[in-house]
Parts: sequence; C-alpha cells; structure tokens
Amino acid sequence: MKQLFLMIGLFGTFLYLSASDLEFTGFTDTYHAVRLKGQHEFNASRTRFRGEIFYQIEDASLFTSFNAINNNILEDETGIELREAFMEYVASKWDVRVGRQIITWGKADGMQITDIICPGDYTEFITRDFDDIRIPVESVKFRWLPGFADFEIIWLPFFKASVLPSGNNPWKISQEYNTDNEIVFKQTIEPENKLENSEIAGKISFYLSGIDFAFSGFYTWDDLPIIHEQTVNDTTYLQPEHHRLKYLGMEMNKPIGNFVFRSEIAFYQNKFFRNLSTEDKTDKKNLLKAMLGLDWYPGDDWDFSFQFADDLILKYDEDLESDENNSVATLNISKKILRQTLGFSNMLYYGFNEKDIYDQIAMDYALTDELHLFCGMDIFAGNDGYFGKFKNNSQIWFKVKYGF
Amino acid sequence: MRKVIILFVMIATIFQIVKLQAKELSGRDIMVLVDERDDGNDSRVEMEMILINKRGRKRIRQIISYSKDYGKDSKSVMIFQKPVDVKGTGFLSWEYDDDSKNDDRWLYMPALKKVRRISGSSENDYFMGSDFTYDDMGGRNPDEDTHTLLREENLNEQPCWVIESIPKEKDNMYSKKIVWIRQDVKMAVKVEYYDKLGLMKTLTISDIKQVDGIWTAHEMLMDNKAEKHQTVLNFNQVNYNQDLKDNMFTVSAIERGRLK
Repeated sequence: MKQLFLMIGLFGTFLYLSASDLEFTGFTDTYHAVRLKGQHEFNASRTRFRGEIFYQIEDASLFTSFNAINNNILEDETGIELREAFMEYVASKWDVRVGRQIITWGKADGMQITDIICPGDYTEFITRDFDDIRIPVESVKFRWLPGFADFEIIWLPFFKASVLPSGNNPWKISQEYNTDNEIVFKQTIEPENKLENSEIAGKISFYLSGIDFAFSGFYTWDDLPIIHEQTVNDTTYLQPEHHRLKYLGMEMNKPIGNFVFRSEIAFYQNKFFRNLSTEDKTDKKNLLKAMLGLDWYPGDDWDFSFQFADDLILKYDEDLESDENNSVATLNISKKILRQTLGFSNMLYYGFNEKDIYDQIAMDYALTDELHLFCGMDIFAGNDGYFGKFKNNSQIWFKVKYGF
Repeated sequence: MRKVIILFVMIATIFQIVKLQAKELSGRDIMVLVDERDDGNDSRVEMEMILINKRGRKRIRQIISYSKDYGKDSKSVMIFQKPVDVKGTGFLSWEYDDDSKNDDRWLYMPALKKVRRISGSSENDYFMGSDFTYDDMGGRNPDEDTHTLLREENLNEQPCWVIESIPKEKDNMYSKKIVWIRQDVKMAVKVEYYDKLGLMKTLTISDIKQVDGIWTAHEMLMDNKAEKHQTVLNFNQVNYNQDLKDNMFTVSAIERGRLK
C-alpha cells in the first residue's frame, strides 16, 4: 500500500513537472537473461523506470533520481528506491555537493583499484552496466578549484556495505567450510552510525597539457566483510565483520599520438584476509594494487583498450587463503558503424591465476535516438577463480531502453 | 585644373597599389587572413545539428559550445543537450597552434559519471555521426596545408578568392580542398572536399550576418555526395566577447554535466 501511494505521488509529480520549468528526464529499460546451459533458466528478468529531476536557481541546484523496479527473479528488488538526491552550490573557485550521490574515482574500466568511494552492487556479479554497479553514498563533497589543481574532500557520515548475491539468487556462491561441526552464521557486524565511524577522503587532481595525474587518500571501512570463526564445543560460529581500512592511491593518464596510457596504484593498509592457521581464521595484511592500461584510437570509430592489473599481498603468509599475487587482464574492442547507430563491443577479462575468463559480447542498435535495442552474451569459462566459478551462469541476454 | 589632374593621378595610383597588393596575395596569405580575422576573444554558441539520411529521415543534436582564445591557442567546451542518449555529455578541448603538439581532449560520460582522457589526434573521425570530421569543425592551422590561389570569381554575386589546399600530412583523408573565400568578410562560403576517387562532399556556408560586430555564419550544409547523407548546422544563438571565465574550460566544469 505504501508503494502504491509512492507511485501515485511520483505520477503526480511527473504530471506537475511536465508543466513546470523543472527538468524531468529519465528512461525505461527492460533486461532479460537466460542461461546457455542446463534448463535455460532465467538468470535475470527485470524492468525499470528511472526518473531524474533537475532544478536550478542561479548558482544552486537540486538533482534527484529514483528507480521503480520490477524484478521477476529477485523479488526483494521489486519496489521504488531513491537513487540519488543532492543539492549543489557552484561558486567561481569552489563547489559543494551534499546528499546521496555517486562519486567516481580512477582511470580503470571495470576494476576497482582507486575507485573505492562507492561500494559495489554485485547482485548480478559484474554483468550489470558499470553505472548500475556503483551504490550511491550519503556524503558531502567539497571541491576547491583554484585553477592549477582540483582539491577534493569527501565526508561520508554513514557506512554502506557492498551488496553480494544472497538467498536464491543465481549468482550466489556458497562458501564451503571444511568442518564436521554445526555451523552458525551470525549477523554481519557493521559500523554503528556514529561520528567517529565516519569515512573521509581527499584527492588532489592535476589536468595539464599532455598529462593528468592525481593523488588520493581514504580513511574508510572495508565494503566487503571478513568472516571470523569461533569454535565452541561442536559448534563453529561464523561472524562476518567490516573493518577499518586505510588507503593511499595515485592515478595517471598520458596521451601520446593515437594512444592514451593509463595507470593506477593503490596501497591498502590492514586489510583482512582469510588465514587458515590463525585462531579466528583471519589475518591483517597490507595490499598493493596496480593497473596499467593502454587505449588506442585508430580512428574510423574503432576503440581498443587493454588493461593489466595485479594485486600483491605484502609480507605474505603461506596459510592465507588468497594467492600472494592475483593478476587480471582485460581487452575491450568496440566499433561503431552506420553513422554510430550500431555499435559492437567485446569486453574480455582473463584471470591469470586460475586461467578463467569472462567475456561480454554486446551489440547496441539505436532504432531512434531515444530507443536502443541491445543484445549480447556473457560467457564464463574456467574451473575456479573470480570468473570461472560462474561457468554455469553463461547467458544470452537482450535489453530495450527508451530515454526521454 | 592641375590640382584635379594631381588628385586623379593619386587616386589612380592608390587603386593600382591596392590592385597590385591583391594580385600579390598568395593562397597562403589569404588563408592567414581568414585564420586571423576577428572572431572575438571568446564565444558562446547554441548549435543544432541535423543529420539527414538518403531517405530524408532526420536526427537532431543540440549542443551548447563555449570557446576562448589564449593567444594563438584556444580552449573550447561542448555540452550536449539532445538527444537523450548523449544528454549531459561534455567534450573539453585545448587546441594548440603549434603543429608538433597534440591537442588535449577530455570526454565526460554522464552515465558513468566519469571523465576520460581521449586521444588528441583522431582528426579524421566523424563528429557524432555527422558529415563533419573533427578536423572540419576545428581551426586548422594554415601551415598544415599548401595553398594555391586558383582564380577570383563571383559566387552568389560576391567576389571570392578560390584556393586549392593540399594537406601536407600523408594520412589526411582528403587529397585536396577547393575553398571559396568571400573577399569582403574573409570567410569561407563554400568548400569542396576531394579524395583520390574525386569529390567527396561539399560544404555551403550561408546566412552570414554581423553579431556583436563580428561576421558570423548561421548555417552550414555539408552534402556528402559519396554517402548520400547531409548534415545541417544551425547556429541559433551566438554571442561574442562575453568575458567567459577560465574555469569553464576545465575538467571540473564538464564533470557537472552542465555549465552555468
């Protein structure tokens, strides 16, 4: 009933906005994916209405976006959600944005090296569009813009965790525990909503002739929980918990001719990992993540993009569940034809450790500027690893999107 | 009577000098005159781009563009207003007069809320599915081509210089351009683009009027004969010398998806 009132309210707002000076835009999309293997079950089937409202008075503005979703596979997702809602004030040398917003850092595509302000929504692993994977955060973002550099400070008063597949989600991966004990899964411990549990980030960016680079730091919480184990008599208690994390990072872009070189490097202090030799099966280690990328724009609407990323656990312990090194490469090739109305793309991920693959092949046809038809395949291969464990989830999909 | 004769001789001499000067102008001199004509220190343009295919079906793009001169270099920013699938996309470009230096370019993609540094040397790529390449849209340095004055002739009853421009770089998509320059306003009014197979497309520039004291084209039609496709550019609202702030031409500005 509450959602019905919300829908009526939103519809009324839409009618009002249509007749006022406010800017009302958005889209409707419908996405359906079927497994290639087995009984060809639906991996995803959802339809969404996205509304976006923008209003500006002189230097101040308001932006709100919301989703009305019907999800046939994950019924918990059906409903109305506020996606972003923020106010912004823009002065000549600074601006400030307050509210629920998406903040993007970094130069990498489809990888989280320095892009760690917004947690990830992995409900459908990473098959969703990149913009749907970022979860908006309540925050205050202040930028001082003196000209020679951009200084950015972000305060996040409330912690928000990444979303992992759960329940009967076809993307859920069950963790196996090698024990005869009874297992009790406790509720995840999240930071309380207290000032001292706030997260704070800072970044200095330089956009210069022939080179961009930036330095960043973040006093945060790990968006993914680590599971602490405790065995009492014949019962093993599993306690997921989020922990404090400190981050320092650097990113760079360097164009040379038809090429753009991209790089990111990040240092994470005191990240928790699973360690089978410790009492609670966890251990704190420092982690170094780095990415090197190369974009090639040969012209004629061809784009090539290659990335190589490596995670290195410092002062490695052989009993850690994670590998000391974890390397992933991506190759993205895209081409547009018919005056950019028909686009083809292929984004390939390759995990070196387990030799596993995720390949997304997609086509986008603009029937009109407003109406786009998409179709594609997500292919997972390998026996284990980040991608290989989804080998039974390879799927074919289509999407229709109408923007207004 | 003697004074009248002296005056007549003086006037004749002046006319002769002007005529000689005009005759002595080389193709390059004329293109430098065109390049250096007053186009304001900065400008704001509301532009409509209409793509027309061979069946007459139209697709419309609306763009707000700002540009500012920094000596011989310039900075420009474009924000796409329509259609919906590109609304909010920002394109920032720092263009350098020095041939040896690549332009700096950034693209803001609102769906990803992310700015991407893009290569500065894809000049031969078509802009947004139109018949204009980035090179056609931007200010090409006169010394990037070899110019030859072919003749003088009237076009639409206006005296014009007709110049042949041959690109110096070997990988340019055009083998040559024939450009009609209106002598009174020092502006191109027609351009024929040729490749090795012959005439590719023709640009016709019309509705030239003064705005804020600066001669301004309000319509451009690019007729792509090879692909039977046309692009019309309408410059609906043009303003010059608005004292635009430097911070409009920055990455932080396009990251907002709109400009004040």
